[in-house]
Amino acid sequence: MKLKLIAVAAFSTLISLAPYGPALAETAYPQSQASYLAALDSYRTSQQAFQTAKQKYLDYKTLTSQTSAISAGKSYLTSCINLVVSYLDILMEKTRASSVLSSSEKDYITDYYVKDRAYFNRSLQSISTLTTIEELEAISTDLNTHLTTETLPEIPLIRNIIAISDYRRFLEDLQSSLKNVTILFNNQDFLGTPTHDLINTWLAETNDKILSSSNLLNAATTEVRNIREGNGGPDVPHRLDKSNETLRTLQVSLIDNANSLLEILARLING
Amino acid sequence: MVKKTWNYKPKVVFYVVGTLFLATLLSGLVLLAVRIGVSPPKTAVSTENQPSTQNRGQEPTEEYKRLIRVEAERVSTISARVKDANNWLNIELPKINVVIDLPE
Repeated sequence: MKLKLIAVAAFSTLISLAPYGPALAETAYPQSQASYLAALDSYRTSQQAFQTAKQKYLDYKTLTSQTSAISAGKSYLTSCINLVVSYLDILMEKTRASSVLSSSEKDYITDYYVKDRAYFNRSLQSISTLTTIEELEAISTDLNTHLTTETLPEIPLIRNIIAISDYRRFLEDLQSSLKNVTILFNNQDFLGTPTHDLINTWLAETNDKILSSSNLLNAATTEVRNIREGNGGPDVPHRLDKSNETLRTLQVSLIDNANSLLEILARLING
Repeated sequence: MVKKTWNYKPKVVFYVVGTLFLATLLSGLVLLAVRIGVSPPKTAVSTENQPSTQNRGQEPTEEYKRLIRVEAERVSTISARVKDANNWLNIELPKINVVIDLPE
């Protein structure tokens, strides 16, 4: 009897909690972003630990302090690689989930991801077997060169490629919504002339705003394509910063477009 | 030797479990209903069967109001997705310098 009651209680609790499932799933942090934050935490801790071990070694150059410094250095390099790899995982997760990235964009990002991960796997293997200060220094120099010349310049480019494809879809959705709002406006006759004229002006203004957003998106798309194809000058980091800035302006502009449409719709329903 | 027994009244347990079950089930259903109400399925605005244009100065029809609400919901969703899309862009790598120098 007791067992039956417990079973009934457990079953009924499960059944009644079922509707909460989707809400809980939506609020859960994406796996790759959670892993990145954990890796960032670990990176900061190991960086601090390495600085402490290094200082101890510089103060007292004993075999023990040297071994500790090497060990802390290995942990530091490992955590650095884990951090970068977890960031690349976020980009790859976004790429896989995207329904709007072109196949050439997806291939570009995937190829880079596979190549970079292979390099980092080799580095992790070398780090796990190193035993001397010379080896530690050599691997750290090699890793730093790879990061500064390949990974760190490539990441903003990939981010912008993904962001552009997202924004392109949002812009298309807003353009389609503007068409729907125009149809709704054209199919009413209950508005008085002043309100009718006012909404007509707002529609024209919103159309212009969406056109400006489209121009911003085209500018960012061209710049990112040029960078990707190696055209248009050597100052890649600066140009990536600029295209990133354009994308942030575009984001504000898209939200403004949406607000304008909502304002028109509110006026249409309230007269 | 005294045999151990579980001292409870089956009726009381039944009512307690039943009440808990009904309360959680009802609150779950309310939540589900609210969620469905907040995010109705996206529907494209039909260009057919629009209200006739004979009512200048009158109130919009219920059907017209419904179409407006559907479109407003759609625009709000786009706006929310634009805001959300940039959240992950704000996650940036820290400045990394891994050159290790340990003088012997």
